[in-house]
Amino acid sequence: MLDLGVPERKARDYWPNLRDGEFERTSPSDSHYNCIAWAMNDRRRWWEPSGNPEHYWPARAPRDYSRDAFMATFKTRHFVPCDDGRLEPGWEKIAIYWREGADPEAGFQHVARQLADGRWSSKLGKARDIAHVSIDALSGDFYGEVAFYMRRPRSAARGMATHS
Amino acid sequence: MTQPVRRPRTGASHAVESIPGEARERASVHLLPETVAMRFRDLADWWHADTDASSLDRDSFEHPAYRRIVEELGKDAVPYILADLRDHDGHWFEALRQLTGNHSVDAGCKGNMRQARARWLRWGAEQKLI
Repeated sequence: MLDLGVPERKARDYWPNLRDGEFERTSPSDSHYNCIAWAMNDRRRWWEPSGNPEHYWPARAPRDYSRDAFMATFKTRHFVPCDDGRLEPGWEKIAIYWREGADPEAGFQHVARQLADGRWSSKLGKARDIAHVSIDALSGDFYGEVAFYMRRPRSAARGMATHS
Repeated sequence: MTQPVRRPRTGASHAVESIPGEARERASVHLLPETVAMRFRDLADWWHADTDASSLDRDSFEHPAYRRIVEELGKDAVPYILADLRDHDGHWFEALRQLTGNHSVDAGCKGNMRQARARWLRWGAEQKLI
C-alpha cells in the first residue's frame, strides 16, 4: 500500500515510478497547503495565482499560470535557475514538474524541494507530503516531467519568513 | 443510477430535460432533498477521488463533477457543500461564492484556508444550513 491519502488505484496510476521502500511518508493528509507552499517551507497557506481570497500569491509575483510566472514567483523567494538537481552543499534546490500540452498556462503540475540529505520533499496536493529518493519517482502522465530546476542559498531559506 | 425524481412547483409546467443548468433554476423545478443529497455525495466523492492529488484548485474547478454540482444542483447543494467542507476539507469556496452570491465571507483570508473554512462554517450555522 502506498497509503498517500489518495485512493490507492489512483496513486499507482499517477505515480507508477513510486515504489515502497524508496519514499517516506512525512505528514498526514492536509488540504490547507499545497506543493508550492511546501516548497517554500509554508504549511499555513495554499499558494496559487488565482486571485481568490483563499489562495496566497506573493504581491510582487505575476498572477498567472505560465512557466515564466512561476519562475518569477520563485525568484521573489531568492531562487535562481540552475542546471540540474545534483546535491550541492549550501544550496536548496526546487524541481518544477511540467506537463506539456497545447495550453502554456496548463502545464504546471508540481514542485518538489530538495532536502539537505539529497532526497526530495513533495506535498501531494491535499494529501500527504513525502520524502523520496529519486526526482523521477513522481514523473508520469499526471505530474509530467521535471522541466527546470532553481536554487537558493540554504542561508536564504533559513532567513525567509514563511508568512511574508 | 436511477433518474432523480423531479417535481414542478404548483402551476408550473416545464420540460425539464430541455433546460440547461442555469435556466433550470429559473424554471423553478427542484429536486427532492434526498435526491440532492445522494447526487451530491456521488459527485463529491468522484471529485475528491480525482482531484485531491492536484496542487491547483483551478484544475479542481474544471472537473465535471464540480461543474455538475454547481450547474445542476445549484443552490440546493449549499448545505451539502458546507457539510463536505466541514467533514472533508473540500475546497468549495469558489462554488460557495458563486451559489450564494456572498463575496464577503472569506474576503481578506489571503491564502489562509483554515480561516476561510471557519468563516464559511460560521456563516452556514448562522443561516441554519448546517
